[in-house]
Amino acid sequence: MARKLISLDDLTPNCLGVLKTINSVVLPTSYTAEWYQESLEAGELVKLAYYSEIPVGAIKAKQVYSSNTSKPSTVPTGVYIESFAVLPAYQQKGVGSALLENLEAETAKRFIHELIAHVWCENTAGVAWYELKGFIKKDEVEKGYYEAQGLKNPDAYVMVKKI
Amino acid sequence: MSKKRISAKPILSSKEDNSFREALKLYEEKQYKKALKLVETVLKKNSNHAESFSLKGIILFYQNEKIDADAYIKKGIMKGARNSIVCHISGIYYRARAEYAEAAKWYAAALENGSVNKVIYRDLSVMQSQIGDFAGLTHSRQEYLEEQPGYRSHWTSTGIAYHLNKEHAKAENTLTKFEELAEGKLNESDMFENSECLLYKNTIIGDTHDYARALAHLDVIEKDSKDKLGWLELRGKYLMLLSRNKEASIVYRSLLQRNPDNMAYYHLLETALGTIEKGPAVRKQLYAKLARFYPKSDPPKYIPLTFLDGSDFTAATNDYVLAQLKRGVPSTFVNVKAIMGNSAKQKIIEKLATEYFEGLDKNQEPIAWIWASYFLASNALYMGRLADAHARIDAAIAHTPTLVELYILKARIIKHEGDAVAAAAVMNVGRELDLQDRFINSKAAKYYLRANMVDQGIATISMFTKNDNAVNGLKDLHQLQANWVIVESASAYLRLFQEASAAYRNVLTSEDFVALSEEEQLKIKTETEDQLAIYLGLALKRLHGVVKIFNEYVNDQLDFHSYCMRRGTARAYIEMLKWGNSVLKTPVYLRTIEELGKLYLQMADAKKPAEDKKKVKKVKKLKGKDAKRKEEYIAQITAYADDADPLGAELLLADPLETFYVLWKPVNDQFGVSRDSQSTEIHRMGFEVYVRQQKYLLALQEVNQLKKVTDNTHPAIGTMVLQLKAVIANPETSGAPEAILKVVEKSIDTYFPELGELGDEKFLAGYAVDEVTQLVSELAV
Repeated sequence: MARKLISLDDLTPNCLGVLKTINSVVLPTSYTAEWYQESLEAGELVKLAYYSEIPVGAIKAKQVYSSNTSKPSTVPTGVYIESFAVLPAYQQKGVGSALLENLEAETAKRFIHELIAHVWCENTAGVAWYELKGFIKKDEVEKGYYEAQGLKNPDAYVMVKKI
Repeated sequence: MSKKRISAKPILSSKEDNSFREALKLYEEKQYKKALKLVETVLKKNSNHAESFSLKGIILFYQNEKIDADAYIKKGIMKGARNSIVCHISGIYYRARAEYAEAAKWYAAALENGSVNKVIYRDLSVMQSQIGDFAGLTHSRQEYLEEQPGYRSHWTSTGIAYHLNKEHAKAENTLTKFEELAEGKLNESDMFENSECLLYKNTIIGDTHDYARALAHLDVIEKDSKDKLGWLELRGKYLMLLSRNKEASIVYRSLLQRNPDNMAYYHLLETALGTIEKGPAVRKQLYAKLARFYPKSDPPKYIPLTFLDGSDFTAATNDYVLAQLKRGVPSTFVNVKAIMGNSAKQKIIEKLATEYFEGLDKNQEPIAWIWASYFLASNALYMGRLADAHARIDAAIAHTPTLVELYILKARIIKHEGDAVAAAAVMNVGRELDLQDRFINSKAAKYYLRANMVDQGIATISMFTKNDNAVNGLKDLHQLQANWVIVESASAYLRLFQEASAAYRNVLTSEDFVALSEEEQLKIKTETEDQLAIYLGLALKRLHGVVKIFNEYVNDQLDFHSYCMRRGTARAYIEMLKWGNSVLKTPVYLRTIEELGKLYLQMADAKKPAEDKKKVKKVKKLKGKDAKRKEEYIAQITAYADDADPLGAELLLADPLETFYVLWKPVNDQFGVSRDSQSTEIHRMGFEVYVRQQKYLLALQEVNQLKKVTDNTHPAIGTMVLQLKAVIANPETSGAPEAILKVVEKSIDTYFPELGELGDEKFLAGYAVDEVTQLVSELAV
C-alpha cells in the first residue's frame, strides 16, 4: 500500500456528521448544535483524521484571549482544545499524535505560545498521554468541571504545553 | 430539419395558385403570419383549394394552435387526398406530431401522386426506419441513391436497408459498388468512415453464415480497419465458428493482452482451448499461468473458484477471499456472491472467513476486523440468518460508527426483517455521515419511498437535483429520466392507496361511523375519497411518467436514421436498432406496465363513471387555509412545468381498458413469440384484457404463449382455460359471434388436448395452486 495509512482532512458541511458521531461516541461531553455549526468556521483549528480512509478521529480547538476582563485583548494568548477524540479501536496508532502535531504546527504558525486542554482527573491514561506529548499539569484542579456530564469525580486537570 | 422544402410545380397558372405559391414560399421562410394572411385570401376566393387548407394547417401547427391545425390538415386531406402537395404537407405534419406511421403513409402518397420532389424519399426512409418498414425502406433508399449517388452515406444507407430487409447479397453488392467507385479517391479524413463501412460489410458477410468468406474478407480489410479490437473479436469469432480452435486461441490470447480484465475473453479462450472438457486440473494450471501473466487482474484469480472443489477450492479461497479481507477490500463479498449459491462452497468460504475473523484482534487490526465483520454480516444476510447478521452489524457499528457502508448493510438487514420505516431511518443516519455521497443519498431516498414516505424521499434526493424555481427536484428527476425514483414513488402511492382503501372500508362499517349524523358521514366520505383519488391519481401520474420517458427513448432513435448514415457508423446503428427493438423489455418498464395493468384492470372492473368528474371540480373549490395547503402540496408533487393535471385526476377518467391496451400492446409485440421468461406477467395481463374486450381468440393466444414460456407450469393456466370454456358454454352473454366461439373451442382442443380426456377438475389439478386464485376463492367462501 503506497498511500499513507493516516491522513488529515478539513471539516466541511458534508462531513459534519462524522465529527458529531466521533464526539458523541468517545467523549462524555455533549456539544450543542450551534457549537457544531461554529466548528465549520474554525479553519485549521478543526481537523478530521482518517485511518485507511475511514474517519476515526477529530480535534477542534479555538483561540483564547486574556481572562483579564478589565483589559480586553484582541491578541490571543493560547489555543484551547475543545474536543479531541479517537475511536477506541483506532487508538495508539498515531492518529491522536497526528492530530495534535498538526494543531501544534498551526499554533506556532499563529505565533501563539500556549496549548491548553482539560482532562478528567480519573482519566490517568489521558493525563499520561498528554504528559508524554510535553504537556504540563497545572497544580490547581478545576473543581466540578465535568459536573454536567455526571461523572463520579467531576474535577479536571488543566494541561498546558508551551510552544 | 423539421421543415422540408415543398417544391410546388405550377399546374395551373391561375391567380390563386400564384398566391398559394407565394404563401408557400413565406412558410418556408418561416414568415408564418404573412403566409397565413395570404393563404386565407386564397381560401376566401376558393373555398375548395385543398392545398391551402393543408398549408394553413401546418402554419397553425407551428404557431402552436394545435387543435385548429388538426382540423385544417384533415380538411385538406378530405378535399385533396390525391394531391401531392396535400400529401406532402400531411406527412410533415404527422412527423412533427411524432406519428411516424401516419407520416410515412402521407410521404409515400405524395410520391405516388406524382410529386417529383425526390427529397421526400429521404424523409420517407427516416419514417420507414423508425416504424420498421424495411421492405419499403429498401425502395426509398434506393430511389434516393439513384437521385444523388455522389455521397457515400446514400450507398451505406441503402446497404443497411437491404441488410435490415435480410437481402444480404444486395446489401453487400451495394457497399462493394461504392468501394469500387471510390477506389483510390479517398482522403485521409474519409478513412474512419471507410473503416467502419468495411467492417460493417464484413458483419453482413458473417450474417450469411459463410464464415470462410467472412474470414478471408477480414484479412483483406485488415490494413484499413481502424477498430483493431473489433477486428480481432470478429476474427476470433469466425475462427471458432470454423472450428479452427488453435488459431482462435491465439486471437483470444492477444485480446487478453489488450484487456486482461474482460471476463468474457477468458471464457472464450477456454472454449477455444477446449479446457472446460479437460477438467479442473488442466484449467487450474491454465489459470495459474494466466495469473502470473496478469498479476493485477481479478478474473484469473476469481474464475478458478467457480470450477475447483475440495482442498483445491479451500486453497483458492485462501488466496482470493482471505487475501482481499486482509487488505480490507470492501467489495469482497460482492466479488464472490456469484458462487455463494453453491452451498458446499459457501460453507467453506464462511468457515475460512469466520476462522480468520476470530483470530483477529479488533484493536490491533481494526481495518481487517471491520471488513471481515462486514463480510460475515453480508454472508449471514445472504443466508437469511437475519438475527446473526443484525448482531454482527451492530458490533461493527459499535466498533467503527463512522463507516457509511455499515449503515447501508444494516438498513438492508432491517428491510429484510420487514420494518421499512426503521430501515429508512438507519439509511438516513449513514447518509448524514457523508452528505456528498450520491450513492447513499439515492439509497436513503429509495428506502424512504419503500417506507411510503414519499415527500421525505423526494426531499432527500432533491439534494442532488437542479431545483430552480421549484420546492424540490421532482421536475428535474422527470427531465433526467430517473426511472427508478419515479417508479418507486408510484409504488409508494399505490401502497398508500391500498392501505387507505382498506382502512376506509373498515371505517364505513365501524359502529362509530354508523352512529354519526348523515352530514358528518358525508364529510368523512368526501375527505377520504378525495385523498384516495389523490393517491390513485398520483400513482397513475408517475407510472405514465415512466411511459413518457420510454416513448422518448423510442423517439430518440429518429435522428440517428440519418445521422449514422452521414457519420458512416453503420455497426453502431445496427446495435441501436437492436436496442430499440427490446427497450420496452427493460425490467423497470415491465414493472411499470405490470403496475398499470393491475390498476387499470381493477378500475375496469370497478367502473364508477361520471361521478368522478364532479369531484374533480369540487376539489378546486377549497378556500383560505385549505386552499393554501393544497397549493403547497401541488407544488411539491408537480412533475412537469405547466402541467394542467399535476394530480393525475384526468387519468382517472380515461377508459381504463382501452388506455391499458394501448400501453400493453407494444410490449407484447416486442416479446413476440419468443420464450422469454420475463414475459409471463405480460401474457397474463393480455389474457385479462382480451377477455374483458371479449376477444376470446386473442385471449387464448395469450394463454398459449404463457404455456410456451413457462413450459405449461404457470399456475394460472388451468383457470384461464376453464374461464374461456365457460364463456363458450354461454354464447348469449359472451358478446362474441358464435363462429368465433367455435374457433376458440377448436383451438382449446388443439392447445390443450388433455382437457377433454381429464375433465375440468383433473385438468385444473394439474396446475399448482396460484396464490392469487387461491386468495380469491378463499375470500369468496
